[in-house]
Amino acid sequence: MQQITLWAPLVLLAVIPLLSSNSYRISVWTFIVINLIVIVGLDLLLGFCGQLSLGHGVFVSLGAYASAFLTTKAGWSGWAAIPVGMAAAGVTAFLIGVTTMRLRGYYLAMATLGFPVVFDAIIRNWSDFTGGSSGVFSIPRLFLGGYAIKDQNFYYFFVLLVFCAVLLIVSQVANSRFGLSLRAIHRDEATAEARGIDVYKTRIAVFVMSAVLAALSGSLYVHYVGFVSPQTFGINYSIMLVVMLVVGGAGRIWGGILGTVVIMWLPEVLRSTSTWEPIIFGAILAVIMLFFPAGIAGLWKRSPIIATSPDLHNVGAAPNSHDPTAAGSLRNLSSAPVLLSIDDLGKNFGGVRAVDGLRYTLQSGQIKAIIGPNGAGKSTALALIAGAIFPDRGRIRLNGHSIEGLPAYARARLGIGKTFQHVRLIHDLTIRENVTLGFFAFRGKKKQEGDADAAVWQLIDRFGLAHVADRYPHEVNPYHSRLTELCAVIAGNPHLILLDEPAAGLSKAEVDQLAGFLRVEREIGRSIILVDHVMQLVLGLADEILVLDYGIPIAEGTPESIMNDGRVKSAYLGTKPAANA
Amino acid sequence: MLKVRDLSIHYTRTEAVVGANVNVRDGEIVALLGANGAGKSSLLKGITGLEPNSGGSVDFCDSDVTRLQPHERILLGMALVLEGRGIFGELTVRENLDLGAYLRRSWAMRKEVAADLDLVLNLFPRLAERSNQIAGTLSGGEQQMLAIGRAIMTAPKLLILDEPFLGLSPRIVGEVVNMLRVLHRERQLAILVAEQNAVLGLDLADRSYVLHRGRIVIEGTAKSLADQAGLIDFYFGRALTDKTS
Repeated sequence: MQQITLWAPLVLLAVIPLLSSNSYRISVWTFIVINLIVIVGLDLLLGFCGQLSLGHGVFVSLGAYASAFLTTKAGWSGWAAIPVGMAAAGVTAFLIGVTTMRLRGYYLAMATLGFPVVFDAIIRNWSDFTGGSSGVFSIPRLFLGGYAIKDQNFYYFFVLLVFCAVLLIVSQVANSRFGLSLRAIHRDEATAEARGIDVYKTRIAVFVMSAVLAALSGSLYVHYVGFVSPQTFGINYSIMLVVMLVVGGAGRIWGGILGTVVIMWLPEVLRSTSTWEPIIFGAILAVIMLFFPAGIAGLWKRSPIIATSPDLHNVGAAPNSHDPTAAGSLRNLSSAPVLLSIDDLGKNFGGVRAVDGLRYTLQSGQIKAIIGPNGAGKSTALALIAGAIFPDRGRIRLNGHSIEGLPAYARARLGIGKTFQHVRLIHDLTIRENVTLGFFAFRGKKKQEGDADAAVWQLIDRFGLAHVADRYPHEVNPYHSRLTELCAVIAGNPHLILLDEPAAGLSKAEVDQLAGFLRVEREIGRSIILVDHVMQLVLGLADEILVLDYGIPIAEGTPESIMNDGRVKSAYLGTKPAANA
Repeated sequence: MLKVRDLSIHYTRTEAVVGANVNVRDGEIVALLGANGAGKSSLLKGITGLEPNSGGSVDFCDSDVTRLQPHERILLGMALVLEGRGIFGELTVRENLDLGAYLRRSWAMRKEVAADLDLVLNLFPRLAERSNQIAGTLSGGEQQMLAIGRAIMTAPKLLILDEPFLGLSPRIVGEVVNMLRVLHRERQLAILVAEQNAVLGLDLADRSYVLHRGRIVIEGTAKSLADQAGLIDFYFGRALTDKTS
């Protein structure tokens, strides 16, 4: 289905020159296809990864000027100039990305808004090389077998072919696990990090990729038109690119294609209305954005990636049985009995002491519960271990190595998986895709995509989620959301699972089933740190319980000794046992 | 006080609530019980207008509110505590509580409002300690306390709670239950609470409804329901093995 929606427009594009011998029309369509090369790359950045670039015209310009300069001044062949322009754009994007992508929010948009101003000034003042404000003229066409490509139809098919190659690559990227990670970063950075995705590097990679494609488009443009000036790809052009993407529907590759065609072809259609053209054009755009805020493509629901046929579980393990070799036996677990040791850990928020002097050790295959009154620092303790926040002081050692300085994604890859207090799933990915994301943390043996699909299906089946695998998170009940999050963590094959109130809101029967799932994980050799108020789960699972109050450990021991501890009773349990204890 | 007639709510693929009839009388505590995914939250959202209904009607205090917006229903005296959400994360704890009393600004009400604030801060000493802290930096459980506290500050006629005990420590759960009983007794406050913990729900409520797959399957006084524990287990357990739900 996805293939059809993607390739059908291409077939349409291919027959356009056959329908008209009007050379002006063919040139318009040539410009459209050249633009599509920028748009699909920009879609990866904006639609998939959620990063807004308001200066993509600069990268198009870089490609255009590299081709213009190298062919007119240095006498290079156009074919040799194109990769140089792409490389220049890639390096420029890398440098911008390194400085801005670490920051959250609108920094890329701000930076890319300022960059064209600088670029424009350089072009205008460095006129020996760039031709200054008047631009570069008589840029030669591309040569093929000693002949310049002058035939309009031929060049049209040539750029269409290039676009097909670009589209093939971009759609492969979009439908891969990397594409899933882009969507995850867009929707929820913290969750993406917890799944082992390096948000910073991934963003830079996508930004570079989109810049390189933009430069390719710029080169193809100047070898067709033969002229480039600072105005050709100025700020208006950059903003038009974003408009095309948003009108068509960002985040669905064919949406951007549709938007480009609509916006570039519409003025031609409206030309007969002469002076009314800009008004009608603006009105159409306003109406589209008013009634289809997700763009034209937003009218259709995204079809999820379904890689594995549901028959697979008949071949694989039977439901609810566990096959450690298939679902992920623990990668070379260290023989050291102490998995995690925490020493004098402390964290303040403003004036509030959230965690203070926390110390304990966790053995491999042990389940430890942390309980305590609300606001005692339990969630903070888990966040410190997972790397979502960094401690003010103290050490955290995993298998003997200090990890307190590592970012969350690196700790996820070392084998620390975490679920959140309020279930955090990527809401525009299906249950199956959310679980697949978990494989980013998997660093044992690099999983092939096919193997990963099979392993995902086995996990989903084992946790009884097969019947909701292709639904979206808001379409399943809270218990299934919880299990999905847990599955995504287990897909990363962690040594240590951190669970923040996994039983909140679950019925007794569901808590029992969850406890069963967690016992299986303990048998495989995973350790678990569990924060919960549901005593049914805590007492049924924990080997040891740690009690926190005001950030300080007040008691530690076996479940029996803790439940009989006077301080715990008054601070936490209450004098009268509450009904859900 | 509240009369819900044949209320239905549809999502794109599923029927969340089918023809539900629910009554809450003046000064009554009513529990909505049911497994996860049974439709409790959807029903509460239908009653408060947060989810558009596809059929049926909602009457509140003898007027038809089916066509009213959520904020218009709240003006009539409903207060809603959603699951763990609905606090203003950028404001302080105290500002959140003050906003709860936003509609009680008249000079005549100032004593009542001050008394309610005392009540809330006595119930949740944690909130008193942290009254100048930005609410978004509270722990999950503390945010839940704040959400309940703010609902009390609106002095509602009907308090609607969706899983109010999520993430609260056992001691606090006990204290909130006691406080709800006190408000109920002293102010004739009517309460409608959705709860998946049947024991807790039945303990608190005068009457209960059990939802299963969007339909009300059992209705009765808490006592009569408590005697049918087996039946409730049946409905709660079935949701787990029910692959089609």
